[in-house]
Amino acid sequence: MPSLISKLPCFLVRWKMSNISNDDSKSDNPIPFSRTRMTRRQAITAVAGGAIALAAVGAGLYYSAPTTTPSETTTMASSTLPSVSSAAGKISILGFNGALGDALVPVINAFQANTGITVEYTRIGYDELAEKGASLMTTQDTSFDIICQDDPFTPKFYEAGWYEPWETFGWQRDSDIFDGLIDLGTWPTPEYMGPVPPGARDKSPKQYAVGWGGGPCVNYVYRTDKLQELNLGEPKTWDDVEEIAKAANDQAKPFYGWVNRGAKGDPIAFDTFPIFFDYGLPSIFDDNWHVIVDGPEGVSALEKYLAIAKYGPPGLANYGATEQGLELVQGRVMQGLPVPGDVVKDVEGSQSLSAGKLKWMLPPAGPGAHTTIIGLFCMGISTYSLNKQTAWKFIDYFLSKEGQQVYTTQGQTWPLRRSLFSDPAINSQPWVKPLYPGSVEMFDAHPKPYPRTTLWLSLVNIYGGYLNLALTGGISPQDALSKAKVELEQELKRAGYIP
Amino acid sequence: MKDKHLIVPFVLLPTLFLIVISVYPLVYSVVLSFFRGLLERFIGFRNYSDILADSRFYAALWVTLEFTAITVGSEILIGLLLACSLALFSIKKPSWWQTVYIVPLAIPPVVSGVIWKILYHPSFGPLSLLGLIGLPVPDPLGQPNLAIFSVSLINIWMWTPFAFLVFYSGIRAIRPETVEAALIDGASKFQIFRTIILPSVRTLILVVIFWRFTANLTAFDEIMGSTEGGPGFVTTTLTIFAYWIGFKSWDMGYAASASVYLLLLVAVVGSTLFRRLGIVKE
Repeated sequence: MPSLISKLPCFLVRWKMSNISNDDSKSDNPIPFSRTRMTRRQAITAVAGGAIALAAVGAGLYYSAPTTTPSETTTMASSTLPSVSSAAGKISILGFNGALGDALVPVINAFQANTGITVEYTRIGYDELAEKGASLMTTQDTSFDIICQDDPFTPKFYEAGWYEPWETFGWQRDSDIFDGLIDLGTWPTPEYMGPVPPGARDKSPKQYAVGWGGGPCVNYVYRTDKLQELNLGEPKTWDDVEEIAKAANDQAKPFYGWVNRGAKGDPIAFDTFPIFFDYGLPSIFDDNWHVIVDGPEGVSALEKYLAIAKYGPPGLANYGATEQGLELVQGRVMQGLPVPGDVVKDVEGSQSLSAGKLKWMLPPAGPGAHTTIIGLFCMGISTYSLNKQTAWKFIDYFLSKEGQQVYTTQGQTWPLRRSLFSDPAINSQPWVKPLYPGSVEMFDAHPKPYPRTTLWLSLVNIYGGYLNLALTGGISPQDALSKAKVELEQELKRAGYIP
Repeated sequence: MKDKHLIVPFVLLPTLFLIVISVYPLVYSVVLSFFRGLLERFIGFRNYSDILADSRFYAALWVTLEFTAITVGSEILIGLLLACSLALFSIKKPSWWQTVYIVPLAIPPVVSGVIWKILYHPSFGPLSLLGLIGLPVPDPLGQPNLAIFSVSLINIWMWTPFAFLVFYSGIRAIRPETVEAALIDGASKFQIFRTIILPSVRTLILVVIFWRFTANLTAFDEIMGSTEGGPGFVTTTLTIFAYWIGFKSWDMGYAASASVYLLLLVAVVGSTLFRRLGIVKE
């Protein structure tokens, strides 16, 4: 620093000389304008910088911009099919962007072709979907007839009466559709799925929606080839998983013993729920919404998870579905807990080094249970829809065997119907094959969803925040769960769930 | 007023514009804060009292102050250092360096957050190369004791150019005759720096402190783009806290009350700085 200071006056003297030579001495400002004027190179750099920034912003806007599709479908419907003039012959669906949302397009095409009813399918980003849905409903907007929402947000729709009960349309439970998918759309929630919010306990259960997109459950996957090399058997318990992680882990290669989504909030909370269930927790709450996750079962579950996760890649605490998928695609992990809907196409795709080498199955058992967590997008009819019957026609078609065949084969995803999952013509499809019979076993294990409460989005931020902190080593498992309990109960008290 | 016909275009319209874009959202936000959720149930001042009993609020307040202190202090020091170095050294093509220094200003903050998230990523970013040569790979955003500094660095990288530009223009505005006179009077170089340079840019330093302090109290994009407030809650500032409550938990009323407290904090800190730092004289 002193050397800088010592040069300062000299610089200023030179500056003065420069001013004189530039004949700017008459100016009050000692700095000649020519020196501050932007050169051509600067201008080009600035323009290029601005262009990059604009492109980046534009890209962000593009990805978040709503997309109304299938545009071809809508056009086709209005040009080649009998024109529909009444409002009852047209419905609008609010859905979500990405491959999961794309899967519905062939069903819409087929429905339009079969019925002549025009379907407008508007898709928006995941984060905007909850906000859009809530704002549409609070303003009693009639723009959309069918609204899709991720399941943690659906209790809000059920409790506020934003979805129309399906009993109105003559809905009958279909045993061929997996129970978990139907139960996710039932309110109040069935008992096995966890505690019922105080305000909903006395209501008689009704069907409001069905789970269909993404998910369906947290799977356990392992590399069959590597397990053979290690001369180890298929894991039956979480202790086995830890043993395999330790044996397979080689950070120098790198080849990691474990991967899951470790990012704060929903990702880590969702992915670790199976371990908590398996260690004997029916939920993180008891039937009266008191937090029980800090008990011995919860602490043991978290300790086991952390013992396994230490064989994960560096930065696991920031891993979302993208990073997890990348690790699997690059063939750098032995085992993990992916949600197929997020990654299966890529992980089992032709570019993946893990393709064909993974077994997708129900996560191993713990001392208390052997199950997993279910979570996916749901579809229901807006209570403010002006075309409820037509909307129901679409849902009825979607759930039908014919609709599900189209959905699975052309939409390239898994079927909601047991009979189709078991059909060799379906389960031999490359996008279903890895999930069969694992997914059916998972549905049969009565997977539980996130706790069914309108508060969950708030609670998961607290709970998932402390799990994430524990994963980074910033707090002990016991402290993480104890602190989470204090803050969770604070929220529950505020909402009147507990005294 | 002589030209009464000018009242509408030059007074009323701008006032109306200000009300629409500034006052209305503020009033709406205050109204929201009296409700549970998104205008679902009127609960009076309950959100305000609840938030004062919420340990997360105080944790977020502490992180906000920590983040602001680290970033503002660093931006002032580094900005001054850069401005002085460019002015002092006989660096070739100073205008080129000037352009290089201000490039971060052209990048949107949220993009900066994502860029740095990748740069910091221990598995997929450049840091992973350390592992290939057998060195331990740090996880700047994943380690609780490092995360706040790593996030602060993003803000410092983004906004130091602003401080640099202001200080550089201030130094260049000093009349060389003043310095020459001091040299003739036998002043030491340090005395010249302390008595001429620093007083000349003092007001600018105060302005930058004020501007960056109030801006960094509400910093959001770069934190959201990189850590989303994690790991755990160690980088959860008040704005991130309000965002999570409002847009992840959907309790808009509670988030609005947190925002009102934040607004009060910015107003108090801002006006205190204004007075204490002598930007305005009472």
